Amino acid sequence: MSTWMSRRVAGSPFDGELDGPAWDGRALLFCNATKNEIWRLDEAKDAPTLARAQTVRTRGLAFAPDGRLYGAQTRARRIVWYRDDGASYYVESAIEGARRNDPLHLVVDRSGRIWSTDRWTEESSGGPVGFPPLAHRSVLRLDPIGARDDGAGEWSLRRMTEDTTAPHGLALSPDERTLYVTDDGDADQPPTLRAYAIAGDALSPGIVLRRYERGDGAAGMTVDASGKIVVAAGARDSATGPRIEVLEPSGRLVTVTPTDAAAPTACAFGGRALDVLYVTSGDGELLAFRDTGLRGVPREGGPL
Amino acid sequence: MASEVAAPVERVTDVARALIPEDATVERISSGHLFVEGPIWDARAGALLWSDIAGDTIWQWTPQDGRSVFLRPSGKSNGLTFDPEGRLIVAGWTSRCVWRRERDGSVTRLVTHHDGKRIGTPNDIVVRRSDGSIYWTDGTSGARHPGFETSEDLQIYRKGAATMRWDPRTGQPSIASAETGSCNGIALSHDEQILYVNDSTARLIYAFDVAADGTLSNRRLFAEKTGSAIKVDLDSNVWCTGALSVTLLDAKGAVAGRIPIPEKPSNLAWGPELGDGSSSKRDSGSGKDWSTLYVTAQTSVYRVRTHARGLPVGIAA
Repeated sequence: MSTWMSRRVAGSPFDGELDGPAWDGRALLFCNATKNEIWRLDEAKDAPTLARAQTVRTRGLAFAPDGRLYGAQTRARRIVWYRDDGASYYVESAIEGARRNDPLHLVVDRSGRIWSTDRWTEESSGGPVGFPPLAHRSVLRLDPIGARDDGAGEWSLRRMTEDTTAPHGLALSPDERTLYVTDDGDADQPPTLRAYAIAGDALSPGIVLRRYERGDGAAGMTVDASGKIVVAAGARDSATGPRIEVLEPSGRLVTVTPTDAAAPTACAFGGRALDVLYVTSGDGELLAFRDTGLRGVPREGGPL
Repeated sequence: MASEVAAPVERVTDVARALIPEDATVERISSGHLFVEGPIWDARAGALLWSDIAGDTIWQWTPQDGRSVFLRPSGKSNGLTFDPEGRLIVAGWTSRCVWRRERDGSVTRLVTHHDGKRIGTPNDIVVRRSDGSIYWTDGTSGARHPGFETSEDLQIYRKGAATMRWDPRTGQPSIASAETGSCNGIALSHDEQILYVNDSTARLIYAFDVAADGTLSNRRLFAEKTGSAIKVDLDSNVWCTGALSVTLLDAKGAVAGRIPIPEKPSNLAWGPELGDGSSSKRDSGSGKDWSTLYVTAQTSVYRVRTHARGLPVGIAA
């Protein structure tokens, strides 16, 4: 157990399920998925402000090295580019001649490739067209392949994992040689935290770093600059309860910090020195831990 | 290939017994689409047009030549209609505009913004023949569902849907009514005194009085438990889509009868009698040749002969 102290951010708890925190260099952006909103918490301000509405159940956010913000519009089964002027542009959802499932969390590597978890849940929808679900639930990757008139670019979408059943959170190691994925599991497989070595253009077979009891698994995650894996896990009624876990890259558990939030959904480092760990929760809580001793990975080309 | 489907029609009242043949047959004239909408009969060309929204195509069909591509890409168009000059007027859906196809094939974007912000996703559309006003339902659902994306901005800026009007005198759009819920289908009565609008979420049809200057007033509930799209006939009956049927409502909004459709209908249009694509040119005024209902439904287009006097479209008042 750790002795980290959390502070509830002003405005918290929100009326809705929070998810997808991402630091843009000056402010934390996060999603109120229930309300279809993205909020912005500027370091210099006391409370968050509404940054964007009508976000089509966006749950995941990530910044690219060039500063572009991408969001996972879960309900519309797509990733969009959220432009600074308020517009949003479709990226690409076609894969294997079909429509991807629901993207949830995403991360952009230094090459500008967008990695995302892809799921099918009770909320998933084929829409009026009736798109069926894919036959698999995998980590997918968008690779930029060219320019497009709207500036969003041309992309190809490909499957990266073969062994996931309900991928949830994902993060890249600081050297971007390893992809970490949390998986909610299914009737046959418990929740897990997995690591995949990135070998060239493919992933090596996944290694299970940690297994969880059902209902007690890990959701979103991030890594710190030293390579430690920081995981939002559990729920109020789960076996171990709501918590933040810190693990070595090997999977060795370093610390476990219980949270006041009932159902942590994701976490991200922010603050001028990237030393504040923000945690979102399904019960509307946004927490800030300032004494973790950890620091986030600076974004290349970013303000830090 | 066309195929016929048995249609055990419901004829509840004398209105239906007069307008829906007891032996009505629903014929599939096109299939294999992704999601079809916006049928309209082109009286000048003697062809049916419709949108396959997700297929990014406007198709045309004639009894003689069958189906062919009319326009691709279509900007994922939705509702189609004609103005009195016979120009195609399009609810642009996720191209986020209302546009007109000129006689030379070029495209004029009539409306892209309102109050400085991008409009929603124009869904269905009707032209007032007497002055060229365009009314359309401006929703948000095109930007919220998978498969309708274009290279245009997907962001919705106005909360909720609205029924909108483009004024040909000023060239400007305005909100005709913000009280039409999840507005979807839209139609004018034959005398253009009443505008009907579907709220497809609440499954209601609203009716408005239309003033000489095009403004709307006296919003009232016309019918309940309805679908997403409507067309009217020359005798003030209203034909609307239902779950797996086209429902005939009499002039007071009461259910008169139903025609089953094999797939969930999205929209409908009046056109000429079966097997004769040119007859509308001979007798467009009386409506005698506008008695066939063309129905878009999920992946297919159907038609069924009625005894109604359908409202001609694209013909000068």
